[in-house]
Amino acid sequence: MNNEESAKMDPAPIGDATGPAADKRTTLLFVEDSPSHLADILQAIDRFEPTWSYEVVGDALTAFRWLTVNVPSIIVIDVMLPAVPGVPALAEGAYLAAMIRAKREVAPTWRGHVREDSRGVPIVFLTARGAANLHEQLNEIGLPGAAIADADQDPSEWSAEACVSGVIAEKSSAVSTGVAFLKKVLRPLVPKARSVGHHA
Amino acid sequence: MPRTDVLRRLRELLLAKEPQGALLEAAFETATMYRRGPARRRCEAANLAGNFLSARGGEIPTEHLAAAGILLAMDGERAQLKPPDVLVRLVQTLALSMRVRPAGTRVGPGDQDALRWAFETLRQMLRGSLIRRAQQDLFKTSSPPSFPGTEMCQIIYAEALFDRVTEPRWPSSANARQCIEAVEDLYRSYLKGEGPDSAANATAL
Repeated sequence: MNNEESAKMDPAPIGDATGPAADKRTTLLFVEDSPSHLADILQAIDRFEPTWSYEVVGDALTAFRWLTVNVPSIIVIDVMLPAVPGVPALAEGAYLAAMIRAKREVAPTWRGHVREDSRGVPIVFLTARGAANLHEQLNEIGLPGAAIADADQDPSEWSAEACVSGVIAEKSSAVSTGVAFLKKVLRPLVPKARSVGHHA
Repeated sequence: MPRTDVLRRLRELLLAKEPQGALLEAAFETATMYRRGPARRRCEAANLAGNFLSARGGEIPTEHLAAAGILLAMDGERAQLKPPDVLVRLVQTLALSMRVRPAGTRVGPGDQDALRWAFETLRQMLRGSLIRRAQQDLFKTSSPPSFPGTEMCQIIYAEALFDRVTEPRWPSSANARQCIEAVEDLYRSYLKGEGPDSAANATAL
């Protein structure tokens, strides 16, 4: 996180967050098998949104199990995850999202059901393979019309799609660095999470 | 000390590589101050610990784990977000810390109480978490709600799972394994249409 980026933020003093999450709990689920990729984002949350809770899981099955019990405010999924039974390589994250949205059957060897109130939760896809590829893959898997997060756009132009199919953020793009991801992607999605009935 | 300073100090100590007892002491102080205090303060301390555990993932030193366990126990809602394997590590570490104090830590009069309280709180949470897992593993949501032994079997199964994950010598614990197998047999027999017998078996268990 560079100083210029930090200066643009509205830091909430530790323990006294006054941002959008001050009145209700905001819980994020990150599904990422390389936690180091998330370090900047998690540091930004610790610093600027200390009342937010986050959980980090490394594979789709653990995420699925977590979602059978908990309802997060926002889910951030790395598209390339360790194998999901019966799912083509490189599509695991997309398939997990389709299961959450009830657009695909639960993997045959998995048990339980994602809680119904998670179906409309905003989902952000992190990808290193190019947004266009993932967009096409999501179309095929039953999640058409995913938006692509762009640092130069107003988040309101794409954030509505986050609750329907999802929002794609390329790992190499300006929107995916720690503070920018918090400011441009996560913060605008918190009110969306509320509007779909999330109760943390 | 103002609460913002307490939290800042805890954060610094959680990030320190070798706090040499200072972190655990700070966790004890925080628990003593906040445990029966306003919910918001307990939530803040627990959230700090919960997020620390999420961000660190794998290898975490014993003192950090014990301190995080004490802090996390102050807010059940935050602690419940933790997967069972994390709760297991915390419970095991707190159990160890009650016997062997991490190097450099001074023992205050209320510290042992705080440790025991955190251990029991997280232990109960783990048990609840394992019952939910048992419901998923053994009794899928599609299973017949009329199954007479369901609730009892879930608890038995969860207790056996609890023994397995918290007892290092579990592989030699024939009772726990037999218990799991018995519950699974019971359920299978029920699904084959032997409902009344299942009820009898459940009582026998």
